[in-house]
Amino acid sequence: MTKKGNTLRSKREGIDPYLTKVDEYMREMATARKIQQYLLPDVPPDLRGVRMACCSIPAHLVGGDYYDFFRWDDSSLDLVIADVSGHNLGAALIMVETRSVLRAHAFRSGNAGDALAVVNELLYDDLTRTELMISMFYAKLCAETRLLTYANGGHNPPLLLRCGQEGYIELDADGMVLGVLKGVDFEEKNILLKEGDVLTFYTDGITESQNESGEMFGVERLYQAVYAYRGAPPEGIIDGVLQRVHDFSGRMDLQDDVSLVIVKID
Amino acid sequence: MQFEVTAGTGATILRLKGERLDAHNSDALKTRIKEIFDGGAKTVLVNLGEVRFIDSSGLGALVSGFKNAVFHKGRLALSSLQEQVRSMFDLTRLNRVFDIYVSEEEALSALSGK
Repeated sequence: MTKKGNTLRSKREGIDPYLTKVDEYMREMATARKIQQYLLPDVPPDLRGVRMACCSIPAHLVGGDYYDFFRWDDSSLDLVIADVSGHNLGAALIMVETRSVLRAHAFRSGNAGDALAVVNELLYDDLTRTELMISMFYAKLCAETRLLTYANGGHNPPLLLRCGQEGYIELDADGMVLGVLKGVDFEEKNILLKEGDVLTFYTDGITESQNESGEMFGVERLYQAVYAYRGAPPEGIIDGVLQRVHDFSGRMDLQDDVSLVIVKID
Repeated sequence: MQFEVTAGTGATILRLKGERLDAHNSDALKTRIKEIFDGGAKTVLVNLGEVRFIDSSGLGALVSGFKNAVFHKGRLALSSLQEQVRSMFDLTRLNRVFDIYVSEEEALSALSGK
């Protein structure tokens, strides 16, 4: 062995333990990513008279976005979308806790506002300790009556595109991002949906996506994208929106977690 | 992001020197605010005038500062919010949690009781 060969081998031996550690870390994070993806519904449940599609893409290996559906019977379900501040492993852990709390308590809350109030009370201490917070939108949809009732905990208001009309309605209600104050009252509102209406639930990774000059995608471009693809099935609307976000930002990787749920009323 | 800390009349002023408050620097801000309260300050004014973009991590850092203020029986106020930053406070309703002032001068005047 030459002197140069010995030096290289000794350098390699010095680096090897670190490479092994990085490899272990990446394997663990890949497992965490897989588990987190399993915890999100890949397809929404069937609901008579409604078509839905959903997707969630973390910016890194794991993220803090969350959406879920709680189906009560053939014609009614609850839909929730949420975003834990940050998009790292800490946010992912709190996202999993949020899911457990919601799944355990959703059925006890007769209305959307109470559901948010309960989650806020139950998670407040943990969110304070972890210095995190959650924005969350909670909706209850009855497909038979087409009545949507909803409450908002500081989340981006979903967009409602009425069939045959231009423009959009932002579904907002009075509340507060979760984990900041205890004892918050969450206003509950409702709106009657019509055949052909399209609802877009989303997280801020869509609207805060930026192009090279620092301009944000914004709500207006999101509306334009949904409007352009409104005739497509919900999955097609999602693909169309994501394509426009990628085209706008000029990059295929994401700056923040992105989640989308599209609901079409038949 | 750099932080500039100065003693003002009625408040310790923390000026954020950078255009983005996000996941990359929010932990540093949390730590800086905590240090200021731990050091005995009762009222902290965060001047966000240079910040053009804030995300949920940045808001989280300020909420953490708000909770620190409550813990120390103090106050955390904000000033000089640009449009995008202001809209994030409106969206999350955090505008109801913080005392938000148009300018540092207005904030200091109110906080010092003048």
